[in-house]
Amino acid sequence: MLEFTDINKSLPNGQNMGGLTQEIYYGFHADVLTWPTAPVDAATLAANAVLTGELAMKPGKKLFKMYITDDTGEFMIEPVGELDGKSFVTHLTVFHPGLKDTLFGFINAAKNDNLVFVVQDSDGQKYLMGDKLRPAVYAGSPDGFGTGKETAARKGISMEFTYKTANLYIYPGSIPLTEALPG
Amino acid sequence: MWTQYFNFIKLRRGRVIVPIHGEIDFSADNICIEICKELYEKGFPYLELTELGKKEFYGIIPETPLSKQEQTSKKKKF
Repeated sequence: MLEFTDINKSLPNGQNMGGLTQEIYYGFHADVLTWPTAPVDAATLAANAVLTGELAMKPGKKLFKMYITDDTGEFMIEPVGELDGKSFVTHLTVFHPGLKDTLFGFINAAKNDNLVFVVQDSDGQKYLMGDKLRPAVYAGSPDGFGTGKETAARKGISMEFTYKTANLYIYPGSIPLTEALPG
Repeated sequence: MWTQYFNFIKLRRGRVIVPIHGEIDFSADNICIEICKELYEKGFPYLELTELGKKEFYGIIPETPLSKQEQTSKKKKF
């Protein structure tokens, strides 16, 4: 049974920097072979928030990285639901500079498909958006998507992805950027 | 070279974002052996020890398989 403990300040090395690293990792939800597992009957608060195992891809599949402009990436957690029906929606918002064919191609493919993301905050902690039952999905472009009006404007694509989850977890595992082998 | 002591398994040799050390390109031959050992000991799923690695790091000496003649004579003694 879960035992409560004191929750102290606990900032190792005094670190608590905001924002995300300048790379996010993405793939198709359908390309995932096995998902890390959520804790069951965790004994401690910490164990109650950490996934176990690795995100493993199907043979021939892998995750990919996307560059994001510094200070534009945010992983935000939104509590939702009525009393006795609480859950969370996580929001990933990023900006990628430029209006290149690769980005248009990504948006064309991703906009109506099921996705998976792993994002890393500035302290190296990772968050997985997607699980066996639910994907991350493209939710729109909250900060603009285009050339901008002025010459001093920043041309590029802002993107928001959302993922609905019953609980919040940290993903401590690896991110495979190379193809999985059969067997 | 790290590949003397570890096999890279389940993935094609290439880039993986690993805990603590960030992105490592396992297609390179010059990865620090200490990093590989640390990853292995922390349960990194994509490295396994070679026989040399088992011997070098943990003193595990593989059993030499007996020849057929030796197996037969061993059986006869009992």
